[in-house]
Amino acid sequence: MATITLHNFNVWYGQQHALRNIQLTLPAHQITAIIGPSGCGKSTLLKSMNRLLDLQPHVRTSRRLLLDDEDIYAPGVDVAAVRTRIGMLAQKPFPLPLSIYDNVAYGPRIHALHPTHQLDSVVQAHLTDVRLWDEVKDRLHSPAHRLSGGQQQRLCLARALSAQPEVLLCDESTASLDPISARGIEDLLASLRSAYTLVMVTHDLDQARRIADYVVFLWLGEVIEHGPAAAFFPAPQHSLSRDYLARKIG
Amino acid sequence: MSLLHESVQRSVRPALVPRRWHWRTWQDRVGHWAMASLAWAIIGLLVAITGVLVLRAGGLLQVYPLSAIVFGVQWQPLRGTFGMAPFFVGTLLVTAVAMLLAVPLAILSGIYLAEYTRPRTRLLLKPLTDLLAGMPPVVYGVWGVLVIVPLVRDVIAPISTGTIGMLVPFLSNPRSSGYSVMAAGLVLSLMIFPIITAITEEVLRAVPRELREAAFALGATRWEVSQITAFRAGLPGIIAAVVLGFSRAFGETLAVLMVVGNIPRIPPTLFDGSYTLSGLIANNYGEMMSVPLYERALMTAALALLAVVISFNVGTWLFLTRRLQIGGSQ
Repeated sequence: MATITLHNFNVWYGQQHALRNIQLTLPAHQITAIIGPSGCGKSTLLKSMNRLLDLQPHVRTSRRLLLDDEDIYAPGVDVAAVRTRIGMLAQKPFPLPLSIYDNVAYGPRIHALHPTHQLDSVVQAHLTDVRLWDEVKDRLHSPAHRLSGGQQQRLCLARALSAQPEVLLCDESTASLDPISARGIEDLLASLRSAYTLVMVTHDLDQARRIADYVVFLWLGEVIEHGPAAAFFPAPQHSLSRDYLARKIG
Repeated sequence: MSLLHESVQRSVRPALVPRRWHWRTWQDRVGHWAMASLAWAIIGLLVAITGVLVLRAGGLLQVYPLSAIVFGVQWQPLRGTFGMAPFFVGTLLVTAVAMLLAVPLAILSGIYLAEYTRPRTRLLLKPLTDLLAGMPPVVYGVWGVLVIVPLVRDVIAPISTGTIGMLVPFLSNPRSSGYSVMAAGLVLSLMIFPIITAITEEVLRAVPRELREAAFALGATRWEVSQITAFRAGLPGIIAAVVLGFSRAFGETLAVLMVVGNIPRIPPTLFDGSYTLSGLIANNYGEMMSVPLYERALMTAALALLAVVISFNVGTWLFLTRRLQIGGSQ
């Protein structure tokens, strides 16, 4: 499994109430797309799921956010463990200032996932999965930042997956890429749903239509509507969702 | 009326090739030249300082071979022997002790400030660090005389003599007065500690937030993230901080000469007095100038000080640019 459930979840930045009483269950092994206009709290919602939100100053949260049946905000929770089980692919590719090989080996190394002698084949497997292996197999030990933007994002995906997460959060992960690279990443994400629970924030409604199984529509920090994509896109129930899908607002 | 109307009236239409410069153009040109000449004047200053030192030092090398000055251990101006080895050794030892004590701890405390503190804690600690970094050396010197010298005499020297000193004679001195290489190194390390800490913190704060988040998102602990930010992304900046600390320590005069004992000989142990190049110049320039070659000898010492600091900085610069070209970091 790997279901994320939010019960009455709230986030404040100082006095600003950024997320209000979020009540959601994100289905396991499906792609959930979080959509909504800029500033509606999509990224905040995503970052609260792996507690990257903690890094922002003056943030408060309340009530519960469950991974299966454990509250990741409960006292005594190891934040590093949360982030190990709930991985993330950021908006812009940010390779660690290490070699290509060491980027993919980073997660397996810090979490001691494999015996050292298996690391080479693990790295190769992950680079092959993201279709990067053939492009980099001759320069595994050169710095990762020399790759192109699209290659870097595939590397970041390989790096995220090599840490063996159950959930993968994607924060507009194709937005900063050229159209061809973006489509490549999107296809990769679509192929991952059998093995991972995917939650993606996207501005691209066409992308959401193409790959999402479940949709959450956020507006000013509140969930206006959520449901299976097959029901949501053809027949949104709320007038705000209808207007957003028709691109009248946002 | 809309401003996006087809026939927008433009009140000014600058000629592409103006007949005469507008005052804004003048402002820009004059500003450019003024700022450029100021910036280049700094290089002129370096040339002028070096030039004067070379002129005033000139001749000492004609009278004595370089080896007699660098390796000579006798400093007896009245007899005309100007061996500077004691000052070189004293300066290097004091600087080495200071760097060994300060650099690792200062980098760790910079990492703490940048990576571990809550905003409120940093708000308290950062201004204090900056304050210490800007404190006048004489304050450190006085404090060294009052606290560090007795500490070395009564605690550090006896303990070292009784323990590690049994194996390493260089660390053994049962009759230390406290005024010593160790005291000077300690005072200097306290001086450069906040400087290196403050710069390390600035360097790490400049590391992109996304890089930090990328490592955190993989389940890294704060220490693992710090290894990425400090020893990978921020390494060139931290090396620059260390070099600045070194230059500061190597050239520091007042605080050191107050506690180092000012004895012109190669110190037999870390707990004996010594003398530094900068202390030599500061203590003696303007006195005994009737002694032949004395001024030239002091100027040679100043030149040596300058040469070491310049070559260390240039060396670091070469190392960092090479490293960046090879691409070890972002």
